[in-house]
Amino acid sequence: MSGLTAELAYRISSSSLELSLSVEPGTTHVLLGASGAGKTTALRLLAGLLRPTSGRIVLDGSVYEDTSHSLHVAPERRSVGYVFQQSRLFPHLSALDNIAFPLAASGVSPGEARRRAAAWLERLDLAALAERRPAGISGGEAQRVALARALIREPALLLLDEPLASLDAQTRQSVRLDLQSVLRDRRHATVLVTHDYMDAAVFAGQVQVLDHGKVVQEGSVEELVARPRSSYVAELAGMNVLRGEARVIEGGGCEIATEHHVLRASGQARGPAFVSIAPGHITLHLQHPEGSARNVIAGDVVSLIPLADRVRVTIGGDLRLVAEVTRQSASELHLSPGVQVFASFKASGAQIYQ
Amino acid sequence: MNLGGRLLAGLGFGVTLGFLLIPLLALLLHTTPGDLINSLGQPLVANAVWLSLLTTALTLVLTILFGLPAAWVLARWRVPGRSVIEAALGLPMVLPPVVAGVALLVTVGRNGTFGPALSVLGIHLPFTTAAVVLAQTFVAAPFFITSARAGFSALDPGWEEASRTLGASAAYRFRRIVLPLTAPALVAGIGLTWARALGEFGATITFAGNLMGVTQTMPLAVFVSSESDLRAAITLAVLLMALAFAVLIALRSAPLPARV
Repeated sequence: MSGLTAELAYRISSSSLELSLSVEPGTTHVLLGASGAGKTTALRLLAGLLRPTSGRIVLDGSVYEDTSHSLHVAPERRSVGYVFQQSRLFPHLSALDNIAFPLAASGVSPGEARRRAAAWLERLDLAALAERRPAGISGGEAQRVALARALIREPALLLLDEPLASLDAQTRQSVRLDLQSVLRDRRHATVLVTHDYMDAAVFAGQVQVLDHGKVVQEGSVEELVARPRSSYVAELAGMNVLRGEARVIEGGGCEIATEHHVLRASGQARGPAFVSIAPGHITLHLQHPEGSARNVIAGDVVSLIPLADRVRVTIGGDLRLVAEVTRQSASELHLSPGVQVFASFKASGAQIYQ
Repeated sequence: MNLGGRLLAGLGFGVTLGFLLIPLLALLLHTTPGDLINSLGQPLVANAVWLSLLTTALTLVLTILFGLPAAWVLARWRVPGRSVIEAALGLPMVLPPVVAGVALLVTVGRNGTFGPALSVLGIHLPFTTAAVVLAQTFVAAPFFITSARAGFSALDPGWEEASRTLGASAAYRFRRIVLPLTAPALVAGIGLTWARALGEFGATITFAGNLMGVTQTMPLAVFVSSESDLRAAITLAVLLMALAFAVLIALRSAPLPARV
């Protein structure tokens, strides 16, 4: 079978990781999670830089790791390319020689290696940098060179560790486009690690959300956004999500009992469930709104983040909510950190799912 | 800083500079290019120069051959009692060289621990050129090992990891990544070791003796001739000084080699 399949468990005293993934050839699999979630550990295990406590890695039919048979293939013998968060270009070699390095290491003649490296530089519009050392090129250029270096052997598995995280916003966008074009042309499996929801949305077929070394949710990006199953995913997708006990109520509709509140919501569910509330569906008041069928939650303003024409308000209290209101209503309500507010939303603005 | 302080600092600087440099200048003033060339023709001088160049070159080869792996092991392996071993390896650097000479005598000398065994094999080390190389290596190799070890320890393991994921074998990584990136430390170590070997006197005269053309290196020849032929002594001293100065200058511009 082609593509990547991996079952990995890694335990050290301070942390642990459990991960099972399979990636079809020609697709990109995203591991999404906050720092410390175990994303880089996962890549190091796949590359062979770490040995799992138990597990098995098979890539395009070759077994790279099988702890039940004490089998471990060394990193240099795996058909794997690795782009590190900091490009890790060799400081003593020119951009061209960095890209040629993997070919030269595998016995290709220096002339041939440099010729093929030059073709890659051309493709990424970096021909002018060929003879420059890494110290003399920008962060975005360095990540492109690192990408070319990892791909020049056409590895069966490409590992990308937050390849855009160290770049400024503008550079990030242009490198992202290059990366997209490169990944589109790839016929092999790719695993990308990121904490940035944007990357997941742009690159991923399948996403696994990692939290403290465990997969808390997996599926397509659309599924993730529609039904976040953890506050981390919800926050990434810009949603509020609460967990509770759901029951169907008379006259249609649903009710969900969370730790501190009973909320009316739309959808059908019984038993343990989630409810998601889009920030735009929440309105804020200084007094408790009267006589409506709305859900009301009291809290204090924690922070205000101005967006284009709206303001993102974080409210703390029994639970944390994010609301988006117009700039006008934010100034009319004299919102500032510490002000007590009442957040309200209709049952139709709260979506229940299991 | 006030005027008094500046005067005091300036005076200290001037005195230090004068104390360290005037004797060296005096050496230069006591010789002429003609003297230098003439002295080079004397057997005592010519033999000493040739012997010093030969033995220090052999010392460097031995030091790098065995010291490079030793430094790597110290930097990268889990060695039990590492700090004790490292302190012990530093001893030859701080011991009086004559102690090193005696230590070598009681180890591989005629009546030393391994002397009889070596005699059976037909090997007699004391008072041979090989003994000069041994004495120099004994006192000078720790400079290279210490410097190389520090270089290897300071090398970010990220470079080697990156090269592993790019398919580079252990030998290829060492040659293309580790050696070039630690070159400044290695070159500094080589320079220090060579300079120390070139100036070696105490251990050599104790363990190897003072035979012209066999064990009489430049420092020994300077010592001998300073009592009989001061002109030869000055020539050799100036040559030693020039060589040492060249090494110091070379060390200040340590290279960073490259290319596929």
